[in-house]
Amino acid sequence: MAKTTPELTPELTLERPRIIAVLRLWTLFYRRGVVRFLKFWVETLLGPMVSTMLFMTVFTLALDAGEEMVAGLSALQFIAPGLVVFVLCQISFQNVCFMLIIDKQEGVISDVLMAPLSPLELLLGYGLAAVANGLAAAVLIMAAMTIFTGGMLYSFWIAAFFAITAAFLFAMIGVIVGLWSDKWDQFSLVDNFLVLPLGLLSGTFFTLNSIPHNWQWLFEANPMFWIISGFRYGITGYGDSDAALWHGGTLLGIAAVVFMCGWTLMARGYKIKA
Amino acid sequence: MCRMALIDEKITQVTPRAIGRVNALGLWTLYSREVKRFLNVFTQTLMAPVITTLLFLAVFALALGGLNRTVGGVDYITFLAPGLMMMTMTQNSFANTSSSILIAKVQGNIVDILMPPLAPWEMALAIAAGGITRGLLVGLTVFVAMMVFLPISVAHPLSAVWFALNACMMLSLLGMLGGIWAQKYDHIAAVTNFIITPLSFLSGTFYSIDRLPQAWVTVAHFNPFFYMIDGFRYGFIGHADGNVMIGHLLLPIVNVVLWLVVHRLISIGYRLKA
Repeated sequence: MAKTTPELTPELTLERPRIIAVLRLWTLFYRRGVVRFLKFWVETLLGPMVSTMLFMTVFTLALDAGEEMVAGLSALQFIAPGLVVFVLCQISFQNVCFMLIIDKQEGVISDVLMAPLSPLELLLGYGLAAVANGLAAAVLIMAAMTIFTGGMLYSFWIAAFFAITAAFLFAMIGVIVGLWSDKWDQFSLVDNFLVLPLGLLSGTFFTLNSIPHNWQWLFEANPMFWIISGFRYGITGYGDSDAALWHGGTLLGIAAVVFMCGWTLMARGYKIKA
Repeated sequence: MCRMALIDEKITQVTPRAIGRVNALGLWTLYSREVKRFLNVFTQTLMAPVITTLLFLAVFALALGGLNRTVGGVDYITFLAPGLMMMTMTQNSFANTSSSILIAKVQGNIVDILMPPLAPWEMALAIAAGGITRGLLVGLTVFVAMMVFLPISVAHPLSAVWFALNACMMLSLLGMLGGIWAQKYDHIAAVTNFIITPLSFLSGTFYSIDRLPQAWVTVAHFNPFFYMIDGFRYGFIGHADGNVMIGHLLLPIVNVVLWLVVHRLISIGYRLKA
């Protein structure tokens, strides 16, 4: 013992503080986040898939079969991408809120805070696990949707860009809401009165043409509308590239701002450090 | 010291309360506890369902109501409104009783309900009545809110009330079965996601049952959820897809059966008593 201690000490002190350490981030992201949502796959993956399929079934039965909604797309093909990306946002948001609130309530958060993790690593560890959950569910749902829509892909990169940006944006919003929530009430307040209305009133299920003209601005100002039209453009090619570029850029900007807010809160230890 | 003496004196004055055939005070206490439980978080239990239902109504009306679509001889939105009302009522009745029992079990305060001198039927009745109250309260609020936007007429008010009451009772009892059976939140989430929501989505809330393939129409005529939605809608628009007489009688019969099962389970203490 007396011999080994002096040998070990210099090595330990050698480790320089870094902004991001891959191992630490991986531990929080994978071992804590991804394993957790895979363990609860019935709720985190299968549940959203079943409810999305239900929506598709309802639309199939309620609409006339093969009715064309916009040029070249059946109603189901029009709805499917929007539904997928909305569910993606919802899952990313909910997952990170669940992780943070449960960790806070059970007091496990102190274990995470004790570990040598920088605020940025904390933010990314929690956030990226939620992004992974969202994307995993979205891919599964997309695959299952082909029953209703047939295979569709216009541009993989555009679709991927919008999916990842959306998931990241909502994961970051989730981090902020998760840190702020002392109880489930606050989380469900945001979930019920912000995320759900944004998603439903966004042009997932209808084109803007069916909205009275003087209300259209309300939909065009909804970030979820940008996400959905961008993703739909990537999947089906419906829409135009200028709008997609414009929407994509704005989303990236918003995501960056929300990310900085999340980072600041983590650094301050808002509601998690005494 | 003086105060302690006063308390001691009060305690000695307490005499045993004679309980007759019905423990009315106990019944009322448990019932008001059930009601206060959900009123305490009314943003989640009353406002959120109301907002969500109105959003659903708006979205489905915009998405499916185009081209002056009519279903069963009425506008699509008039057709949809009672279906959505029924869906919300049933989901809330189910959620109330199932979560009440499950939370009490998980937190261990179920003993506070099991210990008092309440007969199994009194316990079952108080909890079921709590669920029915929540369902009807949500339904009434949604109804009033919808009246603001839609000219809703009620063709057969008594039928509407009869079906609303029976449906809420049925789902409250099912919720109790679920809550008694479940041991973790995952279990009840699975029942909600994979049984209750699909049944309420696919049993004619959004479309006339005639649109189903013939084999499924036959299946629908054995589905209590179908009679529930169809009968309630009959109360509003005066037109039913199925036989309303069967619905009027079938639901109470189902309720009696469910009541006997729930009563039996509580009597033997299945998964309630150690």
